[in-house]
Amino acid sequence: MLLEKLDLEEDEKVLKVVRKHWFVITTQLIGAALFAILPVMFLTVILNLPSAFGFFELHLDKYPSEIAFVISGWLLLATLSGFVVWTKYYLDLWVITDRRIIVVNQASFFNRNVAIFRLERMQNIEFSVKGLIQTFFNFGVLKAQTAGEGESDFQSAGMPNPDQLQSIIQKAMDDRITKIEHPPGVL
Amino acid sequence: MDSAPALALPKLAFAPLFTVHMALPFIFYIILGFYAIFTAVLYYHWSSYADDVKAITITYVAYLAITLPLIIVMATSALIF
Repeated sequence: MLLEKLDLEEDEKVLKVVRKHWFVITTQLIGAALFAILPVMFLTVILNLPSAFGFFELHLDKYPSEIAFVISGWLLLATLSGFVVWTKYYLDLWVITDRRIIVVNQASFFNRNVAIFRLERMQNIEFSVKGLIQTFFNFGVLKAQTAGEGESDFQSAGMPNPDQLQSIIQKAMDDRITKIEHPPGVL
Repeated sequence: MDSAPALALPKLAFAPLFTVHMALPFIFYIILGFYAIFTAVLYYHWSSYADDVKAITITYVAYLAITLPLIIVMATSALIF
């Protein structure tokens, strides 16, 4: 399972697991659904053409098994694309712990990138919400900058409640720095 | 003067060697192979990386409930009729 695979440190607590906003997956699934009904729309148009377009007569009733085969195949393709969208959405996430931020980017099947950033090395966390839809549904781009030269900054689009996430990460960063500078039990 | 008759090519009537209906089983087996590979890949990703048993179960059930009837319709169309 995911959290075991992420290999959390001893006593490391998961504060939040965040996936992209539901609006992101909904728009992609609507795209897959439109793709699914495309042959139905095409057949409806063809069958309702006026008789003047006689050269377009297809005599569909002569090929019931072929039509059933093509429509089933098309729907299967659309369904598989829907499951690709769902899988990508579900496996693409941020895990915020009290020590690190683990960013899992599932770009596609066989294209998975896991980046780990320690909270004490984080410098800045910012978000941007642009446009009517993002403002209305409250999602946007979350961006974080790290202190190390070798490390790259990271960002994710479509993150829900970015202001809340920013404050969670900011608080976790402050707590982590306090814990490192003033370890418990040391005066 | 009558001109020599033009060389008449014999009229050949070809019976269709390969119809769409004959191609359906081959197309079906190709799609079935693709489906099997896709299912294996999907299963691998969910069993390896997902963290919620409920979500995994719902995904597997929904996947099979939607895709298997479509595969059965395709098999029936291609192999029986």
